[in-house]
Amino acid sequence: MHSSDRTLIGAHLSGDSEAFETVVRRYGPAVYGFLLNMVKDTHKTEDLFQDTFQKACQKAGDFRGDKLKSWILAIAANTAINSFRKEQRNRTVSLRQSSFCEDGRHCSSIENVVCGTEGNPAGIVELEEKRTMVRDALMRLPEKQRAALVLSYYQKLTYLEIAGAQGCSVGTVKTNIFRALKRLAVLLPDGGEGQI
Amino acid sequence: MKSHLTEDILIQYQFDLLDDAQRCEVSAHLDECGQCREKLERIRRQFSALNVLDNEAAVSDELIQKTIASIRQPKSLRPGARRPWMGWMAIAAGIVLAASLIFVGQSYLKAPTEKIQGKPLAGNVKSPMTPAVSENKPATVETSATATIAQADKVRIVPQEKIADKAPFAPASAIELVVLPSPDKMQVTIYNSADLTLVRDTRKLTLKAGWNWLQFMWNETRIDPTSLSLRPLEHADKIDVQQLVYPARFKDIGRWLIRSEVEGAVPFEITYFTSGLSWRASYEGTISPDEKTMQLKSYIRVQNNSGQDYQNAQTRLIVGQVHLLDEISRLAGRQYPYGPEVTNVEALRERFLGDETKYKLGFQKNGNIGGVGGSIVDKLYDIKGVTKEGLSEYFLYTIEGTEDLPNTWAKRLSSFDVKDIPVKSLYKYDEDRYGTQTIRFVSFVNDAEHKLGTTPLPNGTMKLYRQLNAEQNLSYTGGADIKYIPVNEDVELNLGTDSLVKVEAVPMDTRTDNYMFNDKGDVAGWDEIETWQIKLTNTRDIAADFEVTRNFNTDSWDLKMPGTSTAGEQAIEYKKHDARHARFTTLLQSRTERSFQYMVTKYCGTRKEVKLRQSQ
Repeated sequence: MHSSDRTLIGAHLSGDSEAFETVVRRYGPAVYGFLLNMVKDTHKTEDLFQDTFQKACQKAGDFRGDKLKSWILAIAANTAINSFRKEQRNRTVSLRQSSFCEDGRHCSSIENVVCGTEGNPAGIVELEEKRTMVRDALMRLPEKQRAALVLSYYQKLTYLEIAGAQGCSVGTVKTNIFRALKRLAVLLPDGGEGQI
Repeated sequence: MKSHLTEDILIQYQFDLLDDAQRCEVSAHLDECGQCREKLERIRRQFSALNVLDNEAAVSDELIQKTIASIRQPKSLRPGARRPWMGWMAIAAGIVLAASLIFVGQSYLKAPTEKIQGKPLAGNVKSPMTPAVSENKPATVETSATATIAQADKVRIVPQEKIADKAPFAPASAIELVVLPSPDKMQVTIYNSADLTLVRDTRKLTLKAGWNWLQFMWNETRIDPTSLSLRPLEHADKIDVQQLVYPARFKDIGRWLIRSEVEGAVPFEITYFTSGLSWRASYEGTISPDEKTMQLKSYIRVQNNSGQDYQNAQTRLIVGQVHLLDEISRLAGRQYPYGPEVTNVEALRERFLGDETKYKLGFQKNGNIGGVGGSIVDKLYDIKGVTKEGLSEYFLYTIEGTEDLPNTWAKRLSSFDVKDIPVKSLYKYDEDRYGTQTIRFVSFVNDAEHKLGTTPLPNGTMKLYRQLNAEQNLSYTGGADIKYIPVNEDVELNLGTDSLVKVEAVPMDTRTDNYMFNDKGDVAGWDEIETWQIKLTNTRDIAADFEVTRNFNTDSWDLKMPGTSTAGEQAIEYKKHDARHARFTTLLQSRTERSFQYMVTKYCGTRKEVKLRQSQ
């Protein structure tokens, strides 16, 4: 039976250790997808993923309303932004990074390219290149703008929900998204013929 | 709208960033203007590139499992957690507990700080030694989750048959390490003479039914790993602490393997020895103007250099000598706790733990503090009392309440404050021991008559002051080291020379007499007769007691004193102190001078034998 978010959180708060596991499984893909678009490094994504659900677990008592997904995504966004701030204070370089690619995730192994189950190998390589390009463009946005854009564009959160998550007004959210789009308009390939 | 729409407006239109009025306006324009529609289409195409990224991504089961495991333990212990804030966090004021864990295959991580109940404490407080529980899930145990600390108080008994027979070789992984609550009770017993401290620490460990691993770490501390001991305080019949493993290649780590038929929080006692904690007694004596009584205050200064913080610890001090086979500091400094060296520390610990409660002798609590020489203030604040108990061969001082003993800190605590102890001031002249100087001594006895005697007095330094007048002005009289003073023993404080009181010994006459000859007509025996004058000078404003000891360098002698005392003067008395020494005592009034003579006859050669025969 598909329990409602509210029921799950209630069960978790009353000590049911499996309730929160269901929450992690239910909203894990959305959170993971969001974080993948927010940070470059997959290891970092996994760390943030765990941090997000840990915070959500600790603060489950604060959850109000029905939209658990947007509540968890808000936590994920704040966790990601806080981690960027910390990183700026303590710049680190991952020793796990390969010298052949910019980050752990973009290194598509040759097996994946050659043995892809769908499409031709050339198509997969091209798609991977496009993804790299879009991600690079996203990474060049300031964190707050990136978070607002990713929450809005990919996670389909309303501007009001994003404002709640980021602790600012709807107007600020719109301004952030607009600035992000303006910057992307320069960074993304032109929408003319022959392009995407 | 006559002019064409800008790219900014079109982006805002596309992404619904315009308000309703603007939106209607733009829609109306687009209906009419093909050029702007084309521009909008190009923008749509450009931003469609964003669609190559997904809004969701498959999460590996491993990551989900890891996340769930991490939720059931504090964040601080998650593998891979980064703690750039550790530095400033450690500096922040507040009571913190830093847990450290070493993960398999990785270097160790320091856990973040955690607030402990109790008084706030300024400064950097760290506790590098913190246990953690690692649980290895045997296949036969059905419960999948670790009991969380919130559920800690519920204890469930699990049937024996549900527990795997075979113990796991090692923890399956360090991922499931769980931090423990802060210690409920902590007790440190400092054996000063041997640089040895016994730490007993009671805390609740959350066990899982089956096999549990408890990991201890003691890096940068002076703990003797061979002395670590763990025992459950409840359900002892259902919990079996099986072995303590020092994993290879890891420094400063020990893991206990615990078989438990109980699931939930169980209080455990962890005991170990450490070095680096010490204490020292100091005394302050204030002698009354007439030098007849003294106020004695005793302090105990506890110093912690063990590398470990002890918070809310009951602190106990052992007075007396402890015979120790091993030096704990040397054991603690070993690179690995295992190896060929065999220690007897465990046996020693048992011995200490066995005898502690034998003779409870007294309790003393200080209510008042009186400034030395300052005005006596009633109940300025509560001073912690020190309870004193007698052990079979030692004395145990227990400081009232609990203390925080942060690493590298020292604390001075009041031990006792006794007023009006009768004391005796004495000037000694003994050329064998002090040369030709007159030395001043203050003495009293550690007994009930002197308002002491409940406990021995530990080693320490004493500073003596003399109260000069009713305004309680003080003069520093001297300092002395006192050795361990058992009950009913004399305490004699050597205060050094005093230029106001002098003794001079002057030889007046030397001659020989009573010769004896042998068969050949040679001298075989004779008497040496010496006359000495002893001059005593007291320029102080109070009377002084003198004790003059003279060495005659022979055990065959006789002493005569011509009558020297006049009316009003105390007679000078002498007595044979030992075979070779005579001791003269007298009291000299203030600002007086007095001389006396004695004549000693020393019997030499055959005269000595004759004298001996006569005396028999």
